[in-house]
Amino acid sequence: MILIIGHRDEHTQRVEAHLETLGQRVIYWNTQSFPAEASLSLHLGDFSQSCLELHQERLFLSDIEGVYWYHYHGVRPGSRTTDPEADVSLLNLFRSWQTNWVNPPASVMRHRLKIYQLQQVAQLGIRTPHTLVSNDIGSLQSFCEQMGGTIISKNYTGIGIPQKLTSASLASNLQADSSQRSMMPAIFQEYIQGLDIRIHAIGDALFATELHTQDWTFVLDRQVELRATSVPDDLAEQCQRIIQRLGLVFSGLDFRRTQTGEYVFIEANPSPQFGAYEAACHYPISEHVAKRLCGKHPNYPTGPSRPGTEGHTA
Amino acid sequence: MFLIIGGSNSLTNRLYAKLRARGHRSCFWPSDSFPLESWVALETGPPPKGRFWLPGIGQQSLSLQEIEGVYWWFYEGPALLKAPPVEGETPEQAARRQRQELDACLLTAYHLMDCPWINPPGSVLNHRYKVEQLTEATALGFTIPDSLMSNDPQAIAAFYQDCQGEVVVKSVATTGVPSRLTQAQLSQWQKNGESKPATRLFQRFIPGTDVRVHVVGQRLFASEVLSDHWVSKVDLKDPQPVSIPDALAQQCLTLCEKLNLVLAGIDFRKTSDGEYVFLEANPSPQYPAYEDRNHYPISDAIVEALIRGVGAKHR
Repeated sequence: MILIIGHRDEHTQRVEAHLETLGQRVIYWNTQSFPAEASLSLHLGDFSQSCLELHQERLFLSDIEGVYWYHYHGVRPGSRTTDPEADVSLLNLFRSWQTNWVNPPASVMRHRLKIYQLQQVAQLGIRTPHTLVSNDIGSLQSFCEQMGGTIISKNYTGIGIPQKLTSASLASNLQADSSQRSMMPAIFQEYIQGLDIRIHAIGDALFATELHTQDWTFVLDRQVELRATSVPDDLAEQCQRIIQRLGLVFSGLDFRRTQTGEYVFIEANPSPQFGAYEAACHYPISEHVAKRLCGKHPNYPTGPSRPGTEGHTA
Repeated sequence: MFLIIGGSNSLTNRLYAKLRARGHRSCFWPSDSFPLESWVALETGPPPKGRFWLPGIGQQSLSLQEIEGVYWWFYEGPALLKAPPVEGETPEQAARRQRQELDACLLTAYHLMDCPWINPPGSVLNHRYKVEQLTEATALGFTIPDSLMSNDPQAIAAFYQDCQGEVVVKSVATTGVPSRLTQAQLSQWQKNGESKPATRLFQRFIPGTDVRVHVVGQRLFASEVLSDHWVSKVDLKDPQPVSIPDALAQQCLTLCEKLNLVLAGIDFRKTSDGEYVFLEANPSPQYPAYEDRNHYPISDAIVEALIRGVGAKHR
């Protein structure tokens, strides 16, 4: 039995189909059913007795071979008054549950500190964008100048669309109230011109896709064209080091490839939405995720035809 | 320069004074001074670089490289601004999102401070995961009480029976005063099917006395706590210095290494036959009462650890 934390959609259905082929029963859990319509009983030291009650069915944790952390919706809104620790209790359960996780809860939760993640990758010697964390308007203006007058702004929660800022637009926005020093902090990064590359890494396998868009970022473009591409050996090695450092078994790694062919790491998403990539490039991403959840590790060829690079050119 | 995360109080003032007596500067950084009264401008590295402007050091800024070490005392959270809701958001959702943004920024700033910490933010915040901590402790050979985390009245009732009605109820995430589970509570849950119990950690009550072991680096300060109440947290009367077995001392050091803690207050229950049962390891212990009554030099040991740079790094 495999538990999918999240909802059924085009991505999870792909994984579900492979799991069924592998003879697994699939249970979805939108955690917002907790605590009103779901119960948990975790016996420390006696895992065989520990169980969840979901959809009026008792499920023993020891019968669940793997858990796919797809989307954690949190607990039922408004439950704070009746069960103030519902949310942290679920996270306690997940973090202490030894099973085949895609991805391990602690690694998914660390993604909240995206810039610390970026720093960890930079410490591996991998090129990352110059990045500023600040709530100080003067420092932001100086950073923008240093970066050549154009920067990108993103927020920490990932809600909203990245913005391209220029020295001129900053000056005009800030002119309204020059007495203020504080601003709502955000992530500010150098703008890197180039082509977006998404690499889905699952275990040893890598599936790379170019995102061709007319806009400055694919996020703004609904007509983005996906093309399969190969992964140079040194980039493949970098991808493996990144996911190992971040404790992930499955990730959507975003890079920008500059005109000089340099790859700049942007971020590692622990719950990537991969359906469109799989469909466009005929990549077996969901099959690999399914096998990983069952504890199966496919045998990959070694040597020059490294995993994930063979047969993936357009 | 040493930073103290949290405000000025009797505990942090003690550290501040001891650092100053030894010729070291330190500065408080209450997190609720952010973002309106303290500012950060940090750039990722390697190595990270940047500056802080903190209350208490005037107009001067402090560079990241000047910070020799950080003592995490208390995280109040950031001050909230009046951010306008984005499309489709309620004011409550906007406030929650803003809190998440500000928390993430502050925690990112802390994580970019790659100096020794007592204790690192990640390790302090992991204290919310008591079940994980108990699991780690068990793996290291500690004895823990029979424990159940649940919101299922039937499972709780069965556990109550297994423990012969001697069950302690605790918060899953915070350090607070525990209570005892009663038959009346169980009956109420069973009678009122619509009202489920809140999720809690239930543990078999262990008869005995409380033992608190403060760990600072490789130094241990053990106290036995006598109390008229079944739990000494209610009336911390007379902590007495005690010695603990070498094997237990070594286990405490190994646990701190595993949890990435330089400072911890580890609570045990000592049974009448001399067994130590692990209850929890607190990363921000209230140690002054033990220091004062037992003449334990705990704050000296913390200051010494800060100066010698033996704090823990982020993991």
